[in-house]
Amino acid sequence: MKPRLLRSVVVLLVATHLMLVLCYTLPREWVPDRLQAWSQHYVRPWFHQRWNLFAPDPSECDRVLEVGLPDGSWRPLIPEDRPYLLRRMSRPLAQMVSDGLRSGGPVDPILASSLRGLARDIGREVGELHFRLVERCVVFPAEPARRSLNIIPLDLPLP
Amino acid sequence: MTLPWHPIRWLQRTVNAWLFGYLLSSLPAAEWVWEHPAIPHLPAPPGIPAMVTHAFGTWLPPHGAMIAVLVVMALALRGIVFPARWYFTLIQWVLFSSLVNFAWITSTGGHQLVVNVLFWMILLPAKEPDTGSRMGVAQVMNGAAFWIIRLQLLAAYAVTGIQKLTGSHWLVGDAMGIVATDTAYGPAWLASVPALAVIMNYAVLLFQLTFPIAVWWARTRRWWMLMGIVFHLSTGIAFGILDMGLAFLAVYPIWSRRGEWAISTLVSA
Repeated sequence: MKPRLLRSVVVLLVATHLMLVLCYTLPREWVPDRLQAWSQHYVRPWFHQRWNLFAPDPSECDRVLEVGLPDGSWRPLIPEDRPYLLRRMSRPLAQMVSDGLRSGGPVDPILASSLRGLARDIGREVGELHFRLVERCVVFPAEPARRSLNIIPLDLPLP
Repeated sequence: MTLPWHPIRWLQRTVNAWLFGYLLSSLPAAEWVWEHPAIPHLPAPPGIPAMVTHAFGTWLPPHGAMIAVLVVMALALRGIVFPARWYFTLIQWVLFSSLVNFAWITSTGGHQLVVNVLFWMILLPAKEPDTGSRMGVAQVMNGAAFWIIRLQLLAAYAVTGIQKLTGSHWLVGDAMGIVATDTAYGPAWLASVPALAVIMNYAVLLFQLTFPIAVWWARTRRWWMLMGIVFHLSTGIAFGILDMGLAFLAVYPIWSRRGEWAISTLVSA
């Protein structure tokens, strides 16, 4: 085959892939419905990616999940002395629990199982554990350090 | 169309170094993440692709995750020392994408970037391309993979910058202060110096939006990459997402040229 034809094939492959990746990752309202559907079919199974960390806006609330101990005190579900990778689960887990509550439903069974799984070191002899979501939300964006406190008890579905 | 070997080989080294380092850093949490996961793994989506990207729970037993971690680490070490063979990279891609989906709650954009880059690395040449060779199907695949990896990096920066433009806090300059005072990230002291927080807010936006343009010219590429190194290391350490930042830096070599990072070249720029 002629080099020029092969170069054209490379350009076509690269351009098509890039276009579909952009249709998948750019803001939804920017992309025509049909292109969006094609990109879902192509990108989702093989090349899934999301580039919206702190975007379009950072979350105005920081969230922590806590577990109630038998003595009545509360501790973070994932304490600070846990390994790095485990500590990093804290934020997305709390965010997903919060998102689920905001949509009006109960805590998702997979998330409920996750909460119980992360508290497994407390021991089974203490009976049913209690969990809560602690949110600290920005009141005035220009003064982000001032935050309102909101504590939401969690009613987990039975395992 | 002969591909430059220098950036390909360095990409292989740095991506494999990232894989090794990330999986090594996961070992202290292995009991919770790989051996007896505290977070249940999500059901695999329907279809044949899920057999490849969600191997655990489809055709690999979930308790094989720890073995997969060790296999990927061993292949990563090999890939740092020797040019990567396509079949080793294929194994790494299948296992690592399955590990990322297995430990889905720990995954970040950095993991997604590495999974995507690994896929295209399967199609990169395993040895220095011969300048005199005739162009065929293999060269088409090599060339497409090379350029897709290059553009994938730029797409990540461009899209994250564009996504920020569709919100409000980044545009008015509040975003960095909000992130810094989030207990999951920090550093909280940044909010006590509002002017600095605003400057950093716009600096981040400017960097992410201009990187995909600046990288095309050697003179600007060096400086934007240096800014990228500072940006990813500082945000990675401050926000506790160092592996994500390092994943981006691991892909930078695909844009490098031989000798470009010599001190004398940097000074002359």
